[in-house]
Amino acid sequence: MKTGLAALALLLLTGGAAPAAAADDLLARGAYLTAAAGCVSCHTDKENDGTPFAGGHAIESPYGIFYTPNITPDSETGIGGWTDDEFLAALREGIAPDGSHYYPAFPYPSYAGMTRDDALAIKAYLDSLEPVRQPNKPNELRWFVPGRSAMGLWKALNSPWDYAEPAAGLERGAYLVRHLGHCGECHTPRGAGGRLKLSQELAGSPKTASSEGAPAIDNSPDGLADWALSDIEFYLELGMRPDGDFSSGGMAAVIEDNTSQLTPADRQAIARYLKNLR
Amino acid sequence: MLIRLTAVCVALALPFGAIAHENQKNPEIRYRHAIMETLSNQFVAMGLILQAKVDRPDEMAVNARALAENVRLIAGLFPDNSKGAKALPLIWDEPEKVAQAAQRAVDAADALVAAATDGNRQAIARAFKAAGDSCKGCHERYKEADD
Repeated sequence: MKTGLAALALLLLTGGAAPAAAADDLLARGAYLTAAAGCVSCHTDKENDGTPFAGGHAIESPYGIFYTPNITPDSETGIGGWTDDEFLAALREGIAPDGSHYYPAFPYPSYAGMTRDDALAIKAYLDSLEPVRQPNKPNELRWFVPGRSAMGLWKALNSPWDYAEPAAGLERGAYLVRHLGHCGECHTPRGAGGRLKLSQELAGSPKTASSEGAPAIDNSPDGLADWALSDIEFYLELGMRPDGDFSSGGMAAVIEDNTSQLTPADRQAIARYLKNLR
Repeated sequence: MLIRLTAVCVALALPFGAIAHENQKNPEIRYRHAIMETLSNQFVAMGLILQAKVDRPDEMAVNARALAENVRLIAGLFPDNSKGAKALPLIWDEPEKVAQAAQRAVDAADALVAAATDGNRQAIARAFKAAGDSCKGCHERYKEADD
């Protein structure tokens, strides 16, 4: 009887607050996952002091310049009013609400492995932001780049990335690296058509005239073989390499907006996964 | 034919080798590199403390103060007779911007001293990163990228 009363009292005390607490939890989880997925790095025009998530950041690539879109919940220029299914299709399949295909400059082949719950937590967080009315800029692509309609064929041939199962105990690190963090989009070499060479996961991509390239971050001698787990964790937290040099370029933004925001346990999971590659 | 090709290669390579050697002999450039190396080592030392790889928490502030002293030298490390090595010509083309960037590094180092004196790990880590980023911000604009 005493137990029953206590339970009733607890229910009365928390009954009104529980949904609000759950919503807060969802937003907090969404904010964390949004950081882990690195959304703000690409969807913010930092060069021109743009509002976070309002888009306009120029991604220079061998295919031309892609301008990232506004993902604040503005109903005309952003993603306001999108249903859960529309958001999931965009994030994991690269399909816009009007049915058109996105270019894979948006890393949906990596995000394809994101769980539905995590993706919808990100949506809940983005929906909670202040809407920003800012029209998207058209891309400036090179003459040989086909229109978005051709991306359907590209996806059929290439996407999503077909990763092997991670080793036991490394699942969380694999999820963070491969899907949320989409590290392979820069650090894995690509073959014909831009498909990632998954047999060389995170083995680095070469610097070219139109790309700054990215170093190997697997456990090879060219990569992180000489780094201790703690060196990697520290780098992901504060951006300093073991030799005292600091991260630069795109990776500095990744550390600022993404990996420094993660829990120590998640940084450790990433480090363990990377050290296990090769 | 092979000998001729080798001779051409040697002739092409010589000027670059000679320039690199000349840079190494220039005392101003050597001094700049020594100071930069000192700054880098100061970061390594503080990094080891922050990671608790060495149990010397009281020496964080000592290192931060040393960094703050040395970082004040940066503004004077680029006299006209020190052009070359990995320093890009832009440094001498926009001295005011360089001075502002050097001052940002000084401010960041001073903030690190304050945080290190206070002793809160989270605040130190934030200030440490900001100080490192202030260095990297300059390197991105004014230093030739490493291979």
